Amino acid sequence: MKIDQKTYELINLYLSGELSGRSLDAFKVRLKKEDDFKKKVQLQKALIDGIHEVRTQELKKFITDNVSNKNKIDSPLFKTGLSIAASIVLILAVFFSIKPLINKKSTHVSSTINRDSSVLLNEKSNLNQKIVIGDSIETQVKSLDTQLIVKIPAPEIIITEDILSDDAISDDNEIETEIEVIDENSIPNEKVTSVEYNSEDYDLPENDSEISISKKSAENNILTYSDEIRDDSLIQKDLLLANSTVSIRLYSNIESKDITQSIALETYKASKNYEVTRSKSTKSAAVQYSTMQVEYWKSVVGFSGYKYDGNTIQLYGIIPNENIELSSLDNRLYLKKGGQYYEIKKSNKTNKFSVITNPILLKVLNE
Amino acid sequence: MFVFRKISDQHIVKQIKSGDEKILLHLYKEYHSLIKSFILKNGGDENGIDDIVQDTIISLWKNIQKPTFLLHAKLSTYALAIAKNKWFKEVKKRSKFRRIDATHSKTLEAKNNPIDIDQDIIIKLIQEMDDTCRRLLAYFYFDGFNNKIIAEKLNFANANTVKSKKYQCFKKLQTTVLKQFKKDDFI
Repeated sequence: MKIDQKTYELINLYLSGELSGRSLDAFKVRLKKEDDFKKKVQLQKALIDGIHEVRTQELKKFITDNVSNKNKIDSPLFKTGLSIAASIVLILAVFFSIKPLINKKSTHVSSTINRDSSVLLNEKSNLNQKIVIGDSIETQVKSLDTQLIVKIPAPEIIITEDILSDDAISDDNEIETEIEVIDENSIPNEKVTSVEYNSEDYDLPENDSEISISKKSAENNILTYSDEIRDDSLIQKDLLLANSTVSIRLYSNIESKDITQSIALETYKASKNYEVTRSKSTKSAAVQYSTMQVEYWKSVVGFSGYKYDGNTIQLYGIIPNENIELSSLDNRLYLKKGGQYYEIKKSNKTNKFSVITNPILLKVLNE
Repeated sequence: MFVFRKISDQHIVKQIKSGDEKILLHLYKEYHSLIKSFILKNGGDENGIDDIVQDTIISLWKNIQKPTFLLHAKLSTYALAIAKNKWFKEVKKRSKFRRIDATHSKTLEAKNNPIDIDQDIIIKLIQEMDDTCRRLLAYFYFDGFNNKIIAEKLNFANANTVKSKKYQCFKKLQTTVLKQFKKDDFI
């Protein structure tokens, strides 16, 4: 059974359905009459079917092989795992790369420290200064307004902490400290060091109105630590320079309306009632005197201001021998220093000095 | 990095017509869940889904190669229509196999093949052909590539070379097959 190219092409056209018209009719007649031709067509059809089958198998194999290999790589689980692993590696890389920078860079970090009974110091002389370092330290960034510095060498950290009253500590069970990272080699490797204080920096009067220098305050600045704090840490806090009892001029009988009247009268001096009211005000403004406990503190951060809890005034930035006067008017306390009056507000927090500029109030205070 | 790329239907058709087999992988991934969902909703199970999907993609490949092919709908819709036909044919085939025994099945196959030729032997002989001839015949009969594309894919000089080479390869295959069977089977 031999097939020439012409017959081969003709059978191809018939099998592919491309034969039509008279060619198709002639082909069908020949198919009926010639057995040999019929078998040629059948054989060619069988071979073409075989070619289809082989090619189909090839393509299926191509799909199966490539899709199964791709699935190993592109499966969602694999992708997720790969993503997580890559993220972890990236985070670790970033962390270790910036860690040295964090240690060297000077930052202010405030720490919230749970109160723990392990460390308490300076209980007697510094009533408002207690440092409690608990078992856990939670840090957060906060602005610097501190009275206590904790220095921790290698890597050394200075923790500056607000002075907290006993009440504040007992109520909140937390104190806030600020941590400043300092140069690693600048602080000796001591377990605990006393506060950097030199009393000669201040020219203190010898016997001036019951002033007594609390030399023990430096010793009281020595802190102990819980296990969480490094043994070679140094803590520095604000320093009590001296305390004294200062007399206060009390204008307790003067009420606000009297001041208002005085202000009004000063403004309208031509008024006929001036002398009457003046005599009334003078009569009611009988000055009395009381005393107030004043403490002079040196802030480690150079803070200038005060803290007044109703009983004791803590003054920062004022040397003990500086002349100061206290006046109480209308239940408000005023401090006079350097020829200027400052209002002293009762608060649990430290405040900056606020200069009195009201001329009427200044006139009353100067009377 | 993960690349999310959506290939347009027109681009897929163009790729298929150019004979780029890599597009089959994209089609498989793109339509597998669609076809699988249809089969599972129509009484099918996980077994055989991959075969249906593969057959669908290959039919899609073959149909697009036809010169008369025109895409009037989304390619996914067309693919699903092919998959439906294949699945219903498969269901029919499975139900038939339950009713007829193996002997009857053989009789049926013999009726479909008037000359007594074992198709497996033909397939085996085709697979044993040299690579160029086998690919040439496959490209022409199965893929439906024109002679120009076949010449490009097989690095032939021109389309006429394909035409003559095609006849030589087919004749060679026919001769090989005839040697495997008795002469009486064909005369």
